[in-house]
Amino acid sequence: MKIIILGAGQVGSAVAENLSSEKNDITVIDLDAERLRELSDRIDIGTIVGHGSYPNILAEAGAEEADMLIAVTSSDEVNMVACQIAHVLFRTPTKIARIRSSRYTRNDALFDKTGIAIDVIISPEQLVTDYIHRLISHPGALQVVNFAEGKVQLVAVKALHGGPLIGKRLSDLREHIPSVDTRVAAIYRRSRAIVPTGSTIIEVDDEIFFVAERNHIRAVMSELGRLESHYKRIILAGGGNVGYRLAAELEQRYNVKIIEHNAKRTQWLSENLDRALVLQSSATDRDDLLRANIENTDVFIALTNDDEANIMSSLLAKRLGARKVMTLITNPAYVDLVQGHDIDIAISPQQATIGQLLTHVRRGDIVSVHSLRRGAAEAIEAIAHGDERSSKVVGRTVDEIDLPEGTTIGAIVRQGNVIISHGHIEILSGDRVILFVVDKRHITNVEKLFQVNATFL
Amino acid sequence: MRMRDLLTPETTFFQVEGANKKKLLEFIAERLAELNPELEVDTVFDALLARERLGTTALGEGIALPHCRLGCCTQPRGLLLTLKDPIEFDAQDNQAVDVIFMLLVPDSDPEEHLNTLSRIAALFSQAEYRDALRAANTKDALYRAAINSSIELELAS
Repeated sequence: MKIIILGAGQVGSAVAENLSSEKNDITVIDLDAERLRELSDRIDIGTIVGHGSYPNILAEAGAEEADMLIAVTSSDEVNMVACQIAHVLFRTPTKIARIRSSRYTRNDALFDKTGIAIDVIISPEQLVTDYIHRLISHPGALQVVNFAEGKVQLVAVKALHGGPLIGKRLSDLREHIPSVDTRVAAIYRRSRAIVPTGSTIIEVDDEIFFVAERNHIRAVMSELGRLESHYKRIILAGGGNVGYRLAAELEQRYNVKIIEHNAKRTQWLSENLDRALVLQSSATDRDDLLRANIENTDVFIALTNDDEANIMSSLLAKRLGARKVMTLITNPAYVDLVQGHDIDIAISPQQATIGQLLTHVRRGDIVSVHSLRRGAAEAIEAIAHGDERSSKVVGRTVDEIDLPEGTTIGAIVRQGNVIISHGHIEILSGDRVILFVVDKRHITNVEKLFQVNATFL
Repeated sequence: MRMRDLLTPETTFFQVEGANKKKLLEFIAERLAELNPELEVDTVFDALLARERLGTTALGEGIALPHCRLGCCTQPRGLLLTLKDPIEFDAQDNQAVDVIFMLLVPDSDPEEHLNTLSRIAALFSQAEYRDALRAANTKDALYRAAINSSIELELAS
């Protein structure tokens, strides 16, 4: 696929890096020549220095032939105009723009068929907010992703000492909770993926990915890990976009405190938040944290735009007694350093964004893609089309489908109903199939599986 | 349905230059809209793209059969083109494509149109037919090779 990326900032670079590792032809446009040089030293991409919404610059980047434009400059306006120009002048099939300001995004009419020609609006801040919100809804989960509008969820948990299923076979799960159907999609043991079967014995520290209906998640988690009580007291460090959105979403159901050091922003937050307690203080200051009653906090979440400050405040919060700490980290190298030790969950905004973009890069009728384990694995929701003749999945049972190595079908959503995957279930046309792919290298084969043949009409 | 009912000299294009898959589908949509007042470029382009997204229409052996159904299309229409330089079409056999036949059909009678499409696929799967198309050295010869093939007549009977 030929893809033009506008903006070589954090999101643009991460996207370029991720997509260039696959068979894509990528050109990145940015005003900053130095930044482009750094990027093209590392990865195989074309670069153009210039103003990304100018028609001549887009043409120079190959917009005539491009299949996709991803506009992720720091300016909402440049991103919108670039998409509109790509549409009018180059008929670019897929146009994706980052739009930060909700003053634009809350107005649906702006982007309807006759409006600004953007096919997909991405808001990394909203993606991160939703991501954290889901983690808070399932205490103890390392990761929670949604499929079929949240009817089905894929959850990662760590098997802990004292968990009812430790030392038992996976197939015993069914006897323990007969009323709940679930499918274990993958197990990572000492960072290596093992293909789960009924006779797999669960060990302490296994990282288990399972798929279940949303209202069954808690029951399954209680078998695999240790049941954690619901969170009540939450401290958010950093009152920027994500901090504010999260506080606004959580304040009705949880006891939320938000720490912000900037006086003006503190003032704004207290005027715009309803119940959350806004504290003007520093999250890296021990005394300030103690004053915020850190020792009685269920979750501390560091959300400033400074990785180092986030890591330090999280370590401090954990040391001072916060039950769980989550940390926003943009530098991928840091994630490996801290996750799983004192920091319970490291949250990467790029990772959350990449999945949404991959949804449109993947071939076949793909509804959603989630990039997992720092991009090594993927969870995909694909729609099966055709019949026995034109499709490789329709009319076949789960057992009969020729899945690539390390790929599991977790669930099927048929006309809004969730069916947990079992070998005898037959796939019908229109089914949404949820798959877990342990190794991204097999993605091409998964894509091929879900593509109809050449004469499907 | 015979090839001569789908194809006219006006919808035959010889040695089209400089294209990739996107540009090619755009070219097809533009030509169809020029020739048929009831068709709009954007509608045809979007429908062809949407079909390609579900899976490539490349048959292998350098052939692709992009196609789609359209409500505003009143009768089946074909368009044949050969390319100067073969292009990438995500074919199963990884071969680049140099001969393209586009089929546009109305929304009605899905069985009948599916049948037409299968016949076209069978036709292009014959090495003899492909060779005849590739041997043509003018636009006129290409058109004649496309409609005059004895294989084609057999299939249509």
